[in-house]
Amino acid sequence: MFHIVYTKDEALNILNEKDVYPVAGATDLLLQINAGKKDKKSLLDISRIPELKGIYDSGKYIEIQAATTLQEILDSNVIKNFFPHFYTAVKSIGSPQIKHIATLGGNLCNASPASDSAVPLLTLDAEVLLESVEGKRMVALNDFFVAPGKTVLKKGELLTKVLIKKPEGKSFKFSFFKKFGKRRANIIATVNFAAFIEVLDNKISNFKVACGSVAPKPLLLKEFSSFFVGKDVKSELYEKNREKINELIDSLISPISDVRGSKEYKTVLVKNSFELMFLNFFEVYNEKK
Amino acid sequence: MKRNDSQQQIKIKVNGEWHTLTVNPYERLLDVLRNRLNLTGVKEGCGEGECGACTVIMDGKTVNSCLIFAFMAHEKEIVTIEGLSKDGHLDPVQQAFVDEGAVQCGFCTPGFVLSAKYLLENYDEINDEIIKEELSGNLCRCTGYHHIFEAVKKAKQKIKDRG
Repeated sequence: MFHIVYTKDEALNILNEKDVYPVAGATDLLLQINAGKKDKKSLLDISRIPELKGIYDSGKYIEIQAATTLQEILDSNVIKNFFPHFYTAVKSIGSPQIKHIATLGGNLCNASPASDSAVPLLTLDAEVLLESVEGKRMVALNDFFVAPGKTVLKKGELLTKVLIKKPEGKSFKFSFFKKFGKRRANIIATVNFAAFIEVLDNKISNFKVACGSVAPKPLLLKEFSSFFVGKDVKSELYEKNREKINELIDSLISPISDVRGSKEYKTVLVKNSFELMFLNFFEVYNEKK
Repeated sequence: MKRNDSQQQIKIKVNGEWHTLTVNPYERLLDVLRNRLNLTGVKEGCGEGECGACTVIMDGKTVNSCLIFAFMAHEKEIVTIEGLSKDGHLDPVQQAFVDEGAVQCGFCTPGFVLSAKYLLENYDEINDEIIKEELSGNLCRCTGYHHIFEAVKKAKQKIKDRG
């Protein structure tokens, strides 16, 4: 059966008492259920709950409520200005028809290893709030995904919002997102790649890169942080370290060969993304100077 | 809303008229529109949200009806291609598609017309990039798209001229 509710409390109560799928857009879940890939459980429509919609500046964070549609995210100047690579990533998801009803919460809980929204959010150290009738807990997005289609959500828990720390301080900030796919629109990524870099006094103070479709979950390549933080920003930064970068990539990613590409091709795409990203970084950085 | 095992009642407004229907939870909006309301202008091309042939407008926004559970349309307003023409006169977007030869087999056309309508209502200025971006959820296997883009531009001009 289906349930339609208008408040968060109603939703949490039903989630606590019954075995249901919470749905806000259900653009992927519908296909999975009707193809027999997921059990036919009851459905809980959470798309009409005002507390689960909207984008807010809470001072330290920009908070995106879970049932905010991807189009609503694109319509937000706050997102476009503060997190341009996240904006670009959301723009690349599906088609206008899909973005009009698909939601950020749904995209994250669907836990596709190729999630375009997750990859830039990982570079921003985003967190998610999980709520149930028992209480709430904040989980780093990097700890949220477990395996394809699986997250740390416990029975009765609902992802209610995504929190991203607002950019602060005097550092130079650079963000980058690139999606590769078999066609230019309405496609699931063969590989996607995001980076967020901060520079202070010509030294790298923050360096985060993440990729999708190269592991069982969207992957933050943590080891690159310790590799790059503290290094001087010189034009040979990529060239000098190219071999090490590629070795590190080989050790961190584990793509599989599938309909979207061979594992060898995906590995090349990640390595090329690094180079592309650095080219772009220096273009922007040198202009700012 | 009555509950009776797997069948439950919903109310949806389609092309200006309210309908009360009993649906099961997994029924798609596409099936309700085509099979219960005989609105066969809404086509099933792929059934997985990639081709846009099933496009309808729901609460003012284009959506793939093959990806929507019917119950999620409860209390919402739907416009299908059948709802566009008024008193036997084609909507300017429909007319432009005819005038520009943007229709070959016609299967993708209802979806394209609705997406074009949404585009024209939401953008003051349009260009090829915007058209391609906003129509990226609709596929055509016949025309090669050129005449479709021309039809969109022609419709924009017509709408501007009407003032």
